[in-house]
Amino acid sequence: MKIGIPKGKRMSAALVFGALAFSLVGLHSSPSWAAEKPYPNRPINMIVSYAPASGTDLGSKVMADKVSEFLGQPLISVYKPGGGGSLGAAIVAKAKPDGYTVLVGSVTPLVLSPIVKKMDFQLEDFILLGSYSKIPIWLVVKKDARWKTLKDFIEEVKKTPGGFQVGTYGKLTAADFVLELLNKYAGIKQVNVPFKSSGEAMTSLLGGHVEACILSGAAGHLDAGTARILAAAEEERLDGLPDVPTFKELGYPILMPSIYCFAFPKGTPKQIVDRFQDAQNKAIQKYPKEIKEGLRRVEQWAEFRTPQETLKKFREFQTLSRKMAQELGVEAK
Amino acid sequence: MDLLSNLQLAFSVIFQPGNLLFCFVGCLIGTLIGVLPGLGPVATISLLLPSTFHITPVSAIIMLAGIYYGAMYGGSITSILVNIPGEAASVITCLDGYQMARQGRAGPALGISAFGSFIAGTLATMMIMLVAPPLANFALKFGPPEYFSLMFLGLTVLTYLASGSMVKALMMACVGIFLGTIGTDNISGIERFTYHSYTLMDGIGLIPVIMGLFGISEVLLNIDQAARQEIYKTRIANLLPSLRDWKDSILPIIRGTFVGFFLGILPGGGAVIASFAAYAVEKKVSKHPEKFGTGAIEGVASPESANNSASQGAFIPLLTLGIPANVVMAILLGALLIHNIKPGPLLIRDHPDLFWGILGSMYIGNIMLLILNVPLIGMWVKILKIPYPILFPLILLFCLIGVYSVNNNIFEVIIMIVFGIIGYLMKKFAYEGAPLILAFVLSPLMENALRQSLIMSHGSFSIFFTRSISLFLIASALFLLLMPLLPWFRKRPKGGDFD
Amino acid sequence: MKRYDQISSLIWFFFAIYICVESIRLPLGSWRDPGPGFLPLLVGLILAGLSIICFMQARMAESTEQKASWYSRKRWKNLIWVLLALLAYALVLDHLGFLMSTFLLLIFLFRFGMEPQKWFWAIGGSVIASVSCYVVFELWLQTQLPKGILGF
Repeated sequence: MKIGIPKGKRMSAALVFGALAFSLVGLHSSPSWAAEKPYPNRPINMIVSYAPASGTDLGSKVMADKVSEFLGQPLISVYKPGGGGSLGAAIVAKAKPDGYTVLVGSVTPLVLSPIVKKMDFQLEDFILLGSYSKIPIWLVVKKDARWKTLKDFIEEVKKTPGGFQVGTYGKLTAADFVLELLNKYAGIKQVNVPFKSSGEAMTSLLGGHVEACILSGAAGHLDAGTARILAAAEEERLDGLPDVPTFKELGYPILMPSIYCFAFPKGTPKQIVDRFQDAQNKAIQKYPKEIKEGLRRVEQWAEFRTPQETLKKFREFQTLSRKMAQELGVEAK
Repeated sequence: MDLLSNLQLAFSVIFQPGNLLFCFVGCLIGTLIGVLPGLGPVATISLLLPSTFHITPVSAIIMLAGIYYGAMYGGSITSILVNIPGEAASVITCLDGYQMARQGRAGPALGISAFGSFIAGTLATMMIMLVAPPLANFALKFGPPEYFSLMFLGLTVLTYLASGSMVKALMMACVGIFLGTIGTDNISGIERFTYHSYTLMDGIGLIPVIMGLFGISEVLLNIDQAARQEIYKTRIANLLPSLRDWKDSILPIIRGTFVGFFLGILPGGGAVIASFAAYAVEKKVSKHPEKFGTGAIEGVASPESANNSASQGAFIPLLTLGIPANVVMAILLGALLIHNIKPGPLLIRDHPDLFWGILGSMYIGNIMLLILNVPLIGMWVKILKIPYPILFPLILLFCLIGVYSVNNNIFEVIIMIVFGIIGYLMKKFAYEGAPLILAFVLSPLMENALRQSLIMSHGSFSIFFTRSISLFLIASALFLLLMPLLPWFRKRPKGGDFD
Repeated sequence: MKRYDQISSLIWFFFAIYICVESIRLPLGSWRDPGPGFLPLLVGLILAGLSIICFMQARMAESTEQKASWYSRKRWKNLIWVLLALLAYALVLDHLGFLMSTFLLLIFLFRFGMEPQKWFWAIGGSVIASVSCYVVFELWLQTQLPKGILGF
């Protein structure tokens, strides 16, 4: 092919062309040594440590939709599922604390995992923001099951030799704890059949392969008329579900604060954390109904707390989990 | 509800200009995503999910669905051209499709792949229309014991995949099973073979393995060959399948459609297993099974049809029962929830426009995809004319970006390179990759199902034999396993090998 | 093939031993309640057995004339260069960023991969390929390619 550049000059021509192309591209994406515009000046990575369309993911998307308006930058979901939520947490714990990496945090990866498995991060390696939602953990059976109340269920389990098979979304999870606690307090035997997710467990329940499930959320079936919730591991009855009792009011003190909040790695500058929290507060202030409704649609309840209250709840759960782990003998050495 | 009036509803929904546009956009994006290796429909659909918040649910699902089955069209392109599976479901297409490309028959391969996908997609849509609810209820009956038996049957399919030494194929299956155990064990929560690496904690990804084992290794093999040898025969035969090709492919397409459809409905089944199974079926019923692996067009027609009908069959449990059959369906479930649509048995009744609109969009979408893909065949084939010393760095780059884009993880890039080396050595020492991949995909599912079943039955193995579906599947598997040995019982063997 | 089969089956045999050793360290459980180590151990044992069978088969088979070696004597250096380039790419990717690393990799592959291309085309082609990939993946698809010390 003939191009009108003399042979000898070809290499230099190519280099010049290359340099031009690179500088054009480089200018397009602001290099980090350019003058710092105020935070945030580019999209923020929201690390989701579970699969797409999980409860964690959907709740974070509802919040991100509104919070990004007050931040001026989008929050982009980056999926790092693995290790029951601990992979994402580990990545954020080690990330650069510049405010552009934030974890969609919850108790399982931040509190439970370091206790039951050997992790190289702790709850203390994160700066928690105020919580925004909670996904209740509850005991679910099929709508047309024989048991209409928790009492019926427990009685039947007591009568069955060998106990019941109860599906959960994994061993060494909050649901597993609920199962063991219920076993202890009610004096029954439930065997944990671990599935990979609440969705899989729900599918098995609907197919009649397990008698009941302890799930986080209901995999979309909360309002579909296919499932019945016998009891929830909550402080008080949930808004909008007047017929669902809590374990506590039925005499079994089982509480799992399954709350969700954003979390920055330790060392993130205070003004960045405050800026983000401020944006979140403003979003909640301006759109309380939309957020509540959006969360409710994906089977979550709004739970707006301050960062201090959130941290307190997490620490309470940490104490509880340590105790549970010791009792069950699953504490990581 | 009258079938005709439903069809009328379906087409009235899809032919609204907005929905037609979304369908087209979805199909277009899907095809592109399918061509680009690594980046799959999962990532794209979740990326686009927020932008669907502000359009109607029907349009949103139509577009997202289009991305999903569109990707099945695009995924075969790189498998055929450069032996890089664009999608896990396209791995098996590499076996014969790439060989066809090397023989100058890339055009017919791409063509039969597109046409097969179209026929399969359309047939699958018709089947959804007719038998969705009863099929979905059947799918619900599959619990852990049934899954175990199904996967067991799937593993026996291995024996039909192997073209060479059976012993070596079984060894590769063992390696595949081993690789599948790496990661956090689901049942006990204990980590296996991870050496505390966060990347390995969730297991070795399928994408780095298949791209390394098939794509990178092929490049390495080609570099190794003598300088002047042609990698691809430069005289391109035809651009489209000949009459002979059609005659050979039509039955495989039909069979592949049915195999794929049923496997796609099962939650956890999926397009990957469907494509392997369809290929094995074809090889079994073929009059010349030894041609498979050398460029038999049936080996392209069948799996490509299977993966398309599987991807459409996967919609059934979602739309009729609210149960997602795979990760993509789970995301669509989330999309439905966000749009305030409750999935479950009442969906068809409460939102008929959604259900029938999606079906209508599948018909139109398949037509759009055919029109999109066929004219591009000429363009794709031209790429093969680029001299290999220039082409191969681009192929490598393609793989590197593709793997990185899945999880933004450099370690996975390294895993891919390592498997590239392994794949190269395997080829040189005559070990096959397909049994490894099949075992790698199936064994985690099978192991999980086995252990869940034993928990359910308190340790009793009888659970596999007292449930009718499970019993049937195991019996079929044993039958298939023992069948080749029957002649051996009748006459004395000549040698010592069982090949 | 005969000698190669013997060598390769021995390699697989030792790999199988490794699998068995590592899996014994995990809880094995029992037939009725398999633990995490059960399946790997089983598979390791089967693999060991199969590799012995393979070895025996190779031994007893008639040896074929083995003139060509399994790697090309002329081009094995290219192969090694390409592999080293790929590994180097993976290692510098995070430090130099996508554009720079890809640019260097492509130049290297165009020159030293198979047939050396002229410098003009090697550099020019590399620029076009790396920039277009950047545009497609980073800007269009928002794939978040690695940024190096130069910021892009």
